[in-house]
Amino acid sequence: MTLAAGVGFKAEHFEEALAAPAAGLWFEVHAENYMVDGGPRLAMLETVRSERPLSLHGVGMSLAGAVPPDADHIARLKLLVDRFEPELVSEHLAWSRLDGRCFPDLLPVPRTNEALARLADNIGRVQDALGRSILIENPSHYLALRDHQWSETSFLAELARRTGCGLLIDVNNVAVGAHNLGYDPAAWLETIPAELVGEIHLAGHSLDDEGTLLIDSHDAAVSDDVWRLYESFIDRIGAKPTLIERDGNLPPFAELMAERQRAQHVLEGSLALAA
Amino acid sequence: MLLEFQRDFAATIGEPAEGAMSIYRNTVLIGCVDALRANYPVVAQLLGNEMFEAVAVEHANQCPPRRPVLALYGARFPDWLAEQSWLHEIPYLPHVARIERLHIESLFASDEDPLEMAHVSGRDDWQALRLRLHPATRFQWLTAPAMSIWLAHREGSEGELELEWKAEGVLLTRPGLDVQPSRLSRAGHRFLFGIRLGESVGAAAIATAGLYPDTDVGSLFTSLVNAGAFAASSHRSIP
Repeated sequence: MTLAAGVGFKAEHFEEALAAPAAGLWFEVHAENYMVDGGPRLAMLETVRSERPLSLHGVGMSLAGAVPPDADHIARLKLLVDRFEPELVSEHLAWSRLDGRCFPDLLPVPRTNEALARLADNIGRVQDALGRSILIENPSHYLALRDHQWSETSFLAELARRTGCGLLIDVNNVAVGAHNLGYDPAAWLETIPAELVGEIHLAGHSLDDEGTLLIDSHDAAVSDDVWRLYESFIDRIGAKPTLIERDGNLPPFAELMAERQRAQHVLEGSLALAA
Repeated sequence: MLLEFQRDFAATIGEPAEGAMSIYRNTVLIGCVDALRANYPVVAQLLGNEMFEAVAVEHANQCPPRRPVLALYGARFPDWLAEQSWLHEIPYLPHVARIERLHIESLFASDEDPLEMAHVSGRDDWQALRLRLHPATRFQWLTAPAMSIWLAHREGSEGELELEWKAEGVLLTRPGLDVQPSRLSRAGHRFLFGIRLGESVGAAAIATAGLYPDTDVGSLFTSLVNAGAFAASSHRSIP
């Protein structure tokens, strides 16, 4: 493992992020936020990258779309990958583009044989263009779709087998989906093959207005439930690069670093046990 | 099958919904509204938060994003605002939106070194130079005092704005890392317009002096160069 625990990078934290002394710290950004031709935003990322390892996390490739991914979008991702040489590149098991329209969301897909073949082909196209493998993130679930032909974990493992991609396991997404659809998150994590996991995401969630569904809102600290799931998961699969994600209600950088430190302790504990 | 599922799903989240579908619908709309608010901060200030949200939701429904790069979303917003009949009570709003769009374009344009006076001063052939605008240079003539309104709100000034209703020119350049806004005179607008069309510096200067005889075209040129309006590499391409 080259990366330990990292934090989602926000421009608001630029100076503190650069000054942070933490050993092993790395940063992740949403690739789409940097798909521009030039200017101060890219210059800022250049500075961050000169100090710390970087992970590019895509949110708009629409890999689960019914058509191949947009060639221009792949080309823009490749420009970023070539320029910033990230340690990790990841995308989602979701779709967000249809008939010329983009949805700023990660929309769900029934896990059918057809979707599996389409996803495998789409992931293959992206990996071929980038010349490297990528990690695929499990989505959060709000809706029980009919027509699934595969369990989620076997679907993810089969995608990895067909394409050589790795998995980004978002433990919060597992907890959110388990609450909303009524399954056991620990049992879900138990069936993920350790060798496929290339990264882990930890984030906070919140209850929807009606008080029934959990939303993967990234606007709060990581919950105790998610920490417990994470600790057991790392205990089984060993240390993996782990990211603290926060998008809304952005706290002071020190608060994110305290969460990051907690993840770092879990990872170091696992390494100490393995030694 | 997958395509049908996705078309049905997209149609469903296009309508008000409850439960899980409302989460998807809200996430999509909030993504668009937040992107418009980030790209049109002064329009958002002028309309107030509640009004802006209603306008942004309407725009997102009629002109949804075509690309996943939300930093560039909202290219159609200024023209769309100009078409909204209820907005005729705020006639300057589409013009302010146009400046904000030019600002986004300037902010994210390609990096390139700007032309400096040292590159051109002392050259005998300066009149024959055909300059290229710097990739981040944006300029426009607006039939409303939108530049004054935009500048005042950008600087966060409080209280009533004393405005004279007149046309104004905007020039945005990016000589360093940040976008630099300036007021553009009619003469400056004519000069830059000529350069953009491919006129030589001499031809643009003569045309500008002919239309605006009170203008010192030499110092106008110097101020445009110093603002970073032209690309450095362009001064070498002498016809």
